[in-house]
Amino acid sequence: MSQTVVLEQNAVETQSITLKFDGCSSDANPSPIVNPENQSITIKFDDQASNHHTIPVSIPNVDSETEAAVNEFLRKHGSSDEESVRTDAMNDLWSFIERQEIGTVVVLVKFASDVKNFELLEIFCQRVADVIAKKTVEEVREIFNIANDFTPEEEQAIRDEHRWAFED
Amino acid sequence: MGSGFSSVLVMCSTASGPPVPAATGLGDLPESVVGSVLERLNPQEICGLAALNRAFRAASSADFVWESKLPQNYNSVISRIFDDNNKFPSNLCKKNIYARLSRPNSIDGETKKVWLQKGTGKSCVLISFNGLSITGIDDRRYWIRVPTDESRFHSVAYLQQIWWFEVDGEVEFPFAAGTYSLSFRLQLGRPGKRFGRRVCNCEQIHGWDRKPVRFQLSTSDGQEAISECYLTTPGTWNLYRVGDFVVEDSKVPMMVKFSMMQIDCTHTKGGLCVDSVLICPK
Repeated sequence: MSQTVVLEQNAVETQSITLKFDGCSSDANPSPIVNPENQSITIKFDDQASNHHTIPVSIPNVDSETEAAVNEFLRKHGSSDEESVRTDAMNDLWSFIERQEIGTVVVLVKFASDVKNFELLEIFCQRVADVIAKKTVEEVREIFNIANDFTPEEEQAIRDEHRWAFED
Repeated sequence: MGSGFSSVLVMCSTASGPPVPAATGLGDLPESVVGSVLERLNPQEICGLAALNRAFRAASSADFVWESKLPQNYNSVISRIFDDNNKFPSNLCKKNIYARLSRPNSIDGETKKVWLQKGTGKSCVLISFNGLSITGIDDRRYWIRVPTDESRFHSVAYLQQIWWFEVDGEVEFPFAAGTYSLSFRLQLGRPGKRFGRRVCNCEQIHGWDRKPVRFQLSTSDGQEAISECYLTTPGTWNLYRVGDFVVEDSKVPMMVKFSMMQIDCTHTKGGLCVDSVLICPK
């Protein structure tokens, strides 16, 4: 599967790039979106990854209730193209995830990243972000059991480097 | 206490939950995944988390994270602010572009300052009285310039008295899509310092209680707002809101014109300080 992108300047073709995609479904139809403001090319293709899982998937290190909720999402989300069905599936999974212990959500983030399921990643990353938001660095370290691998000098240097974000 | 406390959290929560193995900690996820979490936080939070650990430090500098915080038309903003005489540094990563643009930068011969509002990534524009068209500004019977540190431009225009009070201005700027408010920063009374303390001379304040002041704004795409109010609270700087305007298309720079008038010539008015006009995201 490949797609050709033609770059023009002042309506004159300057370059032609052929993009080849490996390992995507033959249903995928990538079309590049060019943003002239920052000269970026974004290629989004209809991610059929959720349809590539053989449901039910097996998720290591989570309990059976969680695994069932994720599989229910995959089944429901993949079963229909209708926006309302997919939104319902996401909302259901979101409600479930909000009630789970944060360690479970981190395991799920890793899982979603490994299987490259972008919808799952979106839900789980948003949950982690919600938990992190408005907390101090020390609180985040404690909640997620993250070791500080900086020396005190390094940590201070990083805080100084980012002082601009907190100045008025 | 730290790790012991956390493992108690893990074990007590869901009775059927297995303990989380250390290998799947948040700090061990790939940079792109940590970045996907950071993308959903605001710039201050992202910068704060850079000090968490090395993985977060790396992810907090990822271009894709900051691309999502910059306004879509940030290249137009750069072109508006910087030129050959004042060059924008090249080869900055997106985070440093964001940092550079969120500092106040002067434009239009230093009569205006612009900066990205850190939380929203949308631009604020502050226009000094020097960038405004004030009727009678050069006539010292009416207006004088007063140096003061109460203004970001370090001086303000002080009106002693006048019949025809009119202040006009305009600015063209590549605003990002969104809704913006426009306000005049004004104070009744003349600012000063005595023995290092802030004082305000209110003796010349007069005429503002007779009729209200009329504020107006209009945009290049036909939006308009009008408001009228009486100036109040001598000795305090106030932002008098004129109204809002909406930017739909960030690809087209918006021209905004605005004015403030009290032209009832049956009475004089005076004792007013005009500092600036502020446009900021709502």
